[in-house]
Amino acid sequence: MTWLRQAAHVAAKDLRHASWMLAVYAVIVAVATAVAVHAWGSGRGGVLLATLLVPFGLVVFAVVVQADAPMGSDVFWATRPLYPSAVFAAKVAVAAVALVGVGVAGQAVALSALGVESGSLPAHIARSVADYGAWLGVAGVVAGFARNIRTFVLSMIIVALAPYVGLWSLLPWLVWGPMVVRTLPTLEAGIAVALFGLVAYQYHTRDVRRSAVAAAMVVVAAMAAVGVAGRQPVPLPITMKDVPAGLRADLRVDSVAFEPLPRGEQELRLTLGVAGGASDLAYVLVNPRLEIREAGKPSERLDEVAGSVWLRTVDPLADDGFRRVGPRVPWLERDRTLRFRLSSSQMGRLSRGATLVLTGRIEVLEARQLQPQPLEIGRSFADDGVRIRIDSVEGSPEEPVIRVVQASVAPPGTAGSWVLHHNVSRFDVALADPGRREAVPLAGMATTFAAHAVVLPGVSVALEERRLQPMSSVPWTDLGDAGAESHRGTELRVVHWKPRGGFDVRSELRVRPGNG
Amino acid sequence: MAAVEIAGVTYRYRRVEALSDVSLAVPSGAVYALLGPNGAGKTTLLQILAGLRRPAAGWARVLGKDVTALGVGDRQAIGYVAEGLRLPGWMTLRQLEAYLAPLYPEWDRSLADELRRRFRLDPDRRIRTFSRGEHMKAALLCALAPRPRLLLMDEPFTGMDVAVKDELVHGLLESAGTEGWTVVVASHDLAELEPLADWVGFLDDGHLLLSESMETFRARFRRVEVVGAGESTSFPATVPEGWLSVRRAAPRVSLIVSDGDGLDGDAYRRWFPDATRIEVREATLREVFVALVRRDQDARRVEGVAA
Repeated sequence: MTWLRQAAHVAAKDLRHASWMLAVYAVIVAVATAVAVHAWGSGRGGVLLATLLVPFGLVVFAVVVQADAPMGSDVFWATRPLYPSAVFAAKVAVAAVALVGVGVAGQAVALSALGVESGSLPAHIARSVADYGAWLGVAGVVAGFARNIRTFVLSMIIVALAPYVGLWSLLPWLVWGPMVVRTLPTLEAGIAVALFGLVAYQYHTRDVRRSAVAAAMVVVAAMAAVGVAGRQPVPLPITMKDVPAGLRADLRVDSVAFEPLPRGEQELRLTLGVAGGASDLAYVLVNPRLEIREAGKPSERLDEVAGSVWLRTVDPLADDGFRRVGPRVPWLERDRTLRFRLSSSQMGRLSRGATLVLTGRIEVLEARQLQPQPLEIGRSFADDGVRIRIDSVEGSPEEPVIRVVQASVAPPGTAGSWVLHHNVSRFDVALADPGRREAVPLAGMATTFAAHAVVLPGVSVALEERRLQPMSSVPWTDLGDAGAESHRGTELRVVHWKPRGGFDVRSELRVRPGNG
Repeated sequence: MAAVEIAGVTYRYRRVEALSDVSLAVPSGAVYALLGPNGAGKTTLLQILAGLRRPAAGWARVLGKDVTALGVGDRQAIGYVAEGLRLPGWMTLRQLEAYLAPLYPEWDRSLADELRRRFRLDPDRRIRTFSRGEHMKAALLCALAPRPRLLLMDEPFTGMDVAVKDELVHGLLESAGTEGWTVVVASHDLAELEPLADWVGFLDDGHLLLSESMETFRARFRRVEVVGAGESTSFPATVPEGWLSVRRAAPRVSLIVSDGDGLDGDAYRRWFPDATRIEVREATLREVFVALVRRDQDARRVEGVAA
């Protein structure tokens, strides 16, 4: 029997062995997919399923591994004419096809339903595969030296909790500092490869001491911690792609102002803008940092009070021929001011001529106008990872309130990393009356948030229930008769701001408190 | 050519030395009985031969191949049966046979059928429902059906009834003889091994005390019965090194000696001049086993008696 046929022979046996568990797993994936596709209004259900799916998948993998355990002197397969590498490959194949593959299929369906473009799918799926792969690697190693499933489950609980307990008690700086950084797919993929390598080594060597395997796991964990610890926290995730030079713009400081605060502190207000760049794109400064630098003294970082600020935006509906109702177009009125709190000593440093250095990254966003959506309850539409469902239309014709649920696909990592979609990639909505050729911009008011994984770990969806209503500064134009019927014939005009990439910016300025 | 060669093999479980500098050879076609008390290192030695453990020092070869580098082809020629070997309990015996058969080019279906019948094993029952004895029989079936050139068996008679044991012993003897199988068997069941073995090795506390053919064994290990060596009878102040066991139950003294090759009763009269009768016969495996296991105790006892 050739190596390949042996691997297939063992894999077929494992599939038969774990058939009912794999069937249950597939059912969980199917339900999780259905939740992601249809019932995404209840985020907690998704969270529960995601919490169930991955541990169950790990247990299934442990059962498959322990059917031909890599270690131990009483393992049946090791006394048979089997290539250890073929047995290992069979386990990997079962995990890849029946666990990861089924999960990925569910994820692809869910992500497609959320409007993720086919071009973005591989990145999302790769992220999940790396994340899940790392966990499967841990499960494989633990299953290798656990003698049964009960020991495996107990060991996994310890393995999952030990790093947190250990780091919290021993290295709090690591936890509270860089550990909040989202992990990178490449790092997770590296961990997964290292752990599967360890399982392969167990199969190859067999008579390896459990303590040696445990030590190797500690080494992998330490390497992962070092990899994470070396990275600086980034409050908001950014697109990793750089835009071409032609789309870049210069960061411009339009005005500097100080406002007195209690206890002798001052609020520094920097109103920013961009010079150059493309006129049909929006520019958003993300993760701004301000440092005070003074010759011969250590630099001092000021706490930012905003994660992002829209520097330039455009009215994507400018050419639609609709009359804007109200005195202002809110899309063009976004606050371009960054605010920093300065202590009296910091003010003193500025008075002595210290320099302010503003750094950050500008994300460039492209407006994409979606198909107009009739204002119908239950209607949903999706675009590139964001799906909106109209839940209800309430209020008087003068003060309508449109409740929508927005589901945004976002990579995982730090709590709140999905803020990316709300701060950088976002929707602007206008309620339009095609008959009267009038449109009123609506302001999105966030009310509640929930989040759940999309089938597999690695990619989650932020669920946001929003109320859309006219900007308070915008007088409402009567769109029809009273009641919900009054909205008949109106439609939502939606613009999706989609990140195209970004570039790093740095600007130095000298300000003197009191003289601006 | 030796089917099994072991030279200077040492194995440690953490700080405990399970095997110390063990060297032996098993000729092709031999049935080698590996004896020793619990914890002597028999199982570890067989696991090393099966490639399940790597020696810390020394080397071992089976069928001419180093045990740390056994390939698929080599394993096709080796059968391994051990108490506690974890067969896939979720499978029926029929499924297990179907799973294993493609792995062996010489898997003998008719032999498997015959063994299943002889062992009275239900092919459609899950292995996890088998009794201890049935489990061992299933393991034996899986080891024998590929017609191995080398069969390693660790306590193969566990849980078997007398009739099946007898059948198995005879079957093995037959197969070993006609097909030239080499069998290494570790067991406490000395009565079953005695007719089976043509070579014997004795391990104690990780040390190999002896390894020789049964022919040599039978020639040199003798049981000496001295009658008339009662309380009043003089007893040697010192006993020769070759005396493994000296039991005194007046008016008799029983000896197990390891250097009795060619000696008759008269040869022992110098130690027992008052004896009325001295009988010498072959020692059984059991007698030698007990004598070897108790030799330290017996030596002390003899010293006490002599004093």
